[in-house]
Amino acid sequence: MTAFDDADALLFADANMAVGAVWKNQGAGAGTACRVIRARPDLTVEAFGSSLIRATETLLVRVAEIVTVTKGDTFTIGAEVLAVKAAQRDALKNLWEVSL
Amino acid sequence: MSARETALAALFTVLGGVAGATKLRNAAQPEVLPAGGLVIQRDGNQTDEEAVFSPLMFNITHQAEVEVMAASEATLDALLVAIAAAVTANRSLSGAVSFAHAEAPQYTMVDLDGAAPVFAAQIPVTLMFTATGSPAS
Repeated sequence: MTAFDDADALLFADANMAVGAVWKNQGAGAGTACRVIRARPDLTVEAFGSSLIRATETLLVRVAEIVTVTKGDTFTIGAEVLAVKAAQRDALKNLWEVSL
Repeated sequence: MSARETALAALFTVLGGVAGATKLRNAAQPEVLPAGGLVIQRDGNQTDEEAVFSPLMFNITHQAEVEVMAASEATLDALLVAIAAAVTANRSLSGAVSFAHAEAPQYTMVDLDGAAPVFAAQIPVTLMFTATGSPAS
């Protein structure tokens, strides 16, 4: 365990930072409970000379909890089912950065 | 009003007939993509001029850019077809120009982490008209 693992464990356990979710491999099966940190900023993108405001939805999940996240998996948070469009790990390979 | 502004305003009026999309001219602020798509006319630049004497006139070729954005390929294509049809059906833009022509679109796709992709295309629209006295008038 590194200091970063300890810090992640504390942050993901915090009720104000993270929420409980259920990860399902390709959306099927009983799923695995995990903790996720959601981020939903509106961002702007450029297309030709124009800017567009787009609502985005991403989340972070610990590799320690979910070893492999791939396109087509789902995260269920309360009544919401969020399908994974892409997932990549951070520099230390401690966290999945998931695009929904 | 200049012959150029007359032509550009007439083009925007014709684009107004394209159903479904939100139409804007020279939008400067970021826009939210509406469900029906977004059409933005950029005024563009003059690309050619030819002087004619007695009386002095200039045959101007001006290229406006029409940007089209949509949430799916099908919506984008329907808007491109509708814009081309609107210009083809009214090549004089109701008398504002001698000839208007929608050129081939350039495509791009805009992707962002955590958001659905946006399909975008840009159609150059060539406007030919005559200015008296000076190309600026």
